[in-house]
Amino acid sequence: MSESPYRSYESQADADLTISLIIGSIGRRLAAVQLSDSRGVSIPGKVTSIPGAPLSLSGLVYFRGGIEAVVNLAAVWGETSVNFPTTARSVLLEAEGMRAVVIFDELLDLYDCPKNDLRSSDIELAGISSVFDWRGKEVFLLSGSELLRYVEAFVSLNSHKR
Amino acid sequence: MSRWLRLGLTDKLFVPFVCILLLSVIATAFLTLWGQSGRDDERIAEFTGRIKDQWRSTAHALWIKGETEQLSDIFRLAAEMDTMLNAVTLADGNGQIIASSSSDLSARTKGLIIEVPVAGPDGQTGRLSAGYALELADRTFLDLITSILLTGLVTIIVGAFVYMKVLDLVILKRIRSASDAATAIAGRDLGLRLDDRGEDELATLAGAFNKMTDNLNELIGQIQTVTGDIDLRAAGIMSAVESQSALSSTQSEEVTRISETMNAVADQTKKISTSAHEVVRIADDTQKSSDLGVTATDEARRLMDQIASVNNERVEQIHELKRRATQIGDVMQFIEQIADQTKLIAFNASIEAAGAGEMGRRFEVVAREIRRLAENVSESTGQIRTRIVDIQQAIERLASTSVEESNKVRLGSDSSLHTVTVLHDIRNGSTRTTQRVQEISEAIFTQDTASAELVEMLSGIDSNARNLKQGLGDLVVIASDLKELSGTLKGMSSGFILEGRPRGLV
Repeated sequence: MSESPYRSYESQADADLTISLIIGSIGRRLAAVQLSDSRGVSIPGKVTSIPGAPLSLSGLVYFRGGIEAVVNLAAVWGETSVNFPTTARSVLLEAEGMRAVVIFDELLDLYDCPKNDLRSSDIELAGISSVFDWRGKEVFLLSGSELLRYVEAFVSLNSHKR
Repeated sequence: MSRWLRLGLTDKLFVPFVCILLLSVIATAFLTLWGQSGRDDERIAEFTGRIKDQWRSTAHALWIKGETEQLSDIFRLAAEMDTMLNAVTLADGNGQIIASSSSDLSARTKGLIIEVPVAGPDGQTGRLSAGYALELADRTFLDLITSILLTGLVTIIVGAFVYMKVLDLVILKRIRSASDAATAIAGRDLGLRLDDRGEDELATLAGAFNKMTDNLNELIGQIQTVTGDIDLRAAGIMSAVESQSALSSTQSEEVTRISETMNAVADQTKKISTSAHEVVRIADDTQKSSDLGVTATDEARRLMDQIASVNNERVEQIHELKRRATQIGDVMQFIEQIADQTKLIAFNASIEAAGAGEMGRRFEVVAREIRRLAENVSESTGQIRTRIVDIQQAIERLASTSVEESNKVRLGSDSSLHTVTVLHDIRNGSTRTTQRVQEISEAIFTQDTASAELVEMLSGIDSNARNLKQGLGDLVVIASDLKELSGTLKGMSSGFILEGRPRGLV
């Protein structure tokens, strides 16, 4: 995974730099992932649920010839899970050797966000690193490493059981 | 007693009369005989005493002397001189006849026989028998008649007194009772009754009297009841007459109003007659207008059929347009899918370019342009889809409107056809209206005549009602008089004491 945008925000020299973000909607919120953390975008296939998995993991999905774990951000954020709309798109994230899929209800834009626009969130939401404004709306920037911890914890738990 | 009650009045009078008469006769005879007998005995005793003394001294003196022959002569002489003396005989103690006035011994036994003991010589005792004829009785006949008359007079007086008592007991007392009862009835007391026991004429009279009193009682009761009824009926008649009088007044007023209404009706009839002529003229105009309307409506129907045909073609074109729009929508959906796929590819291209680092920067620019193009396409297709949806909705509305217009045109055509039928009906109706109006005119003429007759009849009814009112006034007076008479009769009948307060027998 590349440098955290939040950390790069601490130096004024880096503040003028921009980061490329994929912006989409999840439920009633807008979220974004770094383009550098993304490995691909696809139409979501059938999600196979995992028995005994935590609510933060929706299950497994077939993505470009591989089986990937799906992080259920709606459940993590305490929102009611609904069926994916036809505009839903799955984004494969990879960081620190771990891969996971986040399913957006709709991908809205590929946005080069100035790092100076990033700021801390006023509300406590799991898996986010900062927030910024896009077209007058607040967008939560997802932290790939934070999200992949759910997958890592689950995999470690299952390995320990074995 | 019951036998006595069954006797008739004549018998009740005759039987005491006969009884008293018989008792009088018997009493007279008894008293006469009893009185006469007393006097004869006294006379005989006096005569016998006197004769005894004479004959005893004479017979004693001569028998003593033995002068029996002389004594016999004396006896004969005495017998000849005294016509009542039949014979005198002196017999001794042995019954031997010493001297006799007659050789016929039987003569001395006739009539009154006076026997006198006579002392004879030698202590003998003889018995002198003198027989006197009944001439003594003949001599007291007048006394007997007088006695009978006096005794009969006394017994008749006593019998008459007794008979009067019986008469009073049998007849007069009951007649007085009847008189008292009649007096009570005269005093309006109908509670008294006579004793009608028995079968004589007075009992019959008492029964008839009681029956008459009962009938009178019942009659007075009926009179009182009828008087009450008459009173009520008179009040009812007065009430009814007053109501009838009021009704007559109302009827008279109603007749007057009806007459006025009839006059108004006559005026209206004239107006109707005038209007009827106007209606005939209008009906003729309507008939002509109906003909014109039929022609115009046929032309309008023909034009509406043409419009309907054109409209149907337009509806077909609209449906075709709708199909084309749908096809365009399908194409736009396809384009949108392509744009979406392109956008997805552009995202992946950007990701790959980012992954390639500096080497992929130029490629990322291309990918961003492609994604932007895809977004523009997607945005345009969205707008086009929106427009197509608007067009489809407009086509739907147009199609719906066209269908409605077609339906309206069809309805108009049907209405035109119906209008033609109606106009034909109107034309026929106008013809019938003309005929009916002519009939109405004739009926109005008849009605006018009948109305005049009705007004005349109503005038007669009004006159009759007024006469009836006058008659009802007279009837009120009569009813009032009847009520007054009823009151008088009630007052008269109320003075009677009826059976409700019985007084018993008298």
